[in-house]
Amino acid sequence: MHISEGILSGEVLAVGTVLAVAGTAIGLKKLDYDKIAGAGILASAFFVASLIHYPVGPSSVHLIMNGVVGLILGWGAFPAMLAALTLHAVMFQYGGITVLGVNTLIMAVPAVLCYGLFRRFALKGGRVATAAAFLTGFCAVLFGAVLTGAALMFTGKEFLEVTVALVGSYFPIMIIEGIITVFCVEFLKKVQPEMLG
Amino acid sequence: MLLLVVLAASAYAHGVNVFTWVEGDTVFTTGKFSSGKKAVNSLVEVLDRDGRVLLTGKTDEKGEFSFKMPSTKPAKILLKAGHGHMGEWVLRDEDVAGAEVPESAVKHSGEAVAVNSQSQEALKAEIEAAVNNALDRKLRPVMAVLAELSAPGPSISDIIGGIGYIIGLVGLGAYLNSRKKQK
Repeated sequence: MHISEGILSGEVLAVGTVLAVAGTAIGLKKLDYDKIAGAGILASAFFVASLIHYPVGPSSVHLIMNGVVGLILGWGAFPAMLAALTLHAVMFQYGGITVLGVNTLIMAVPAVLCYGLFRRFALKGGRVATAAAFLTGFCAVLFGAVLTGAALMFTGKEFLEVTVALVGSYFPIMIIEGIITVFCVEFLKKVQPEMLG
Repeated sequence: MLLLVVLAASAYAHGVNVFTWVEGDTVFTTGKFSSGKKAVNSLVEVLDRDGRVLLTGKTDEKGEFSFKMPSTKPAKILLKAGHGHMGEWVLRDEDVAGAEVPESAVKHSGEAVAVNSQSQEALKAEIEAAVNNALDRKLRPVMAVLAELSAPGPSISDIIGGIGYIIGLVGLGAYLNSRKKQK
């Protein structure tokens, strides 16, 4: 879900940049000493996740991991995503420097939303936690698709049409992300519960 | 679920790469996603130097689109693959210049060559055209390989390098944070 350079209008790019800067500032404030290492690991995971394509049938899929990043870092997802997306843009021309703000929002806003919505339940035990973890992975991708549709809407595309197409094509990823998030949360609870703290 | 993945096809790529070359009077364009998939059924826009759209078209099932060189020289080719993906290729003047087929060559081909200055000219033009044709034919596989190579995916060293940058940022963050604590 990296939007390329030269597609969005100036206004959308400007608004996206301002909001992303604000989000990153909040995120950096909230990242205290104990969380910096975790943020780096998650930024690396996010950076690599979308580079590695697993062949599935004639096509290929890759993970996005913004749900896990959000669940653990909260607002800290903003600086983590910004760092990873900057590297994507500079090293591989995925997205672009001017679109960086918008692309950061597309990834980080769902992460923060899922943090707010599902974290409380994911920390509990049993079925509730499993469901919440699944929904985190699922909805983080879903919200990302909706935000991409919203960003493209301002360049004259039909919001509903684009969003439905995006959600449709990302549907398998949503399911896979949901399952992976469940495993991540279960694993962290056993091994490093203070990371979810 | 597998079916859904199959349907989903192109959506997982990040960027789309365009590669363009000129063969005779025809311009060939191919589009490829960073995942290595061909950009099928994507909108291609050909612009001149002032950014006016000269012509548009769609890539076929091989991700290719070709068009006859228009009278106004094209300068830039945009490929829009939907979902916010776009790639571009800038055509330099010397790429386009090679496309001109000498008119006299076409006119005089097949005529007997007499030894006077005018047919000397014609002969020269004819040879030039023949060489151009042969070169185009010989270079076609080379151009195809170049198109394949023009957009390599991320390599292992790229990925490790990226992680290195992030570790550096973590170090920077930890350093700034510890200075704040000391104060």
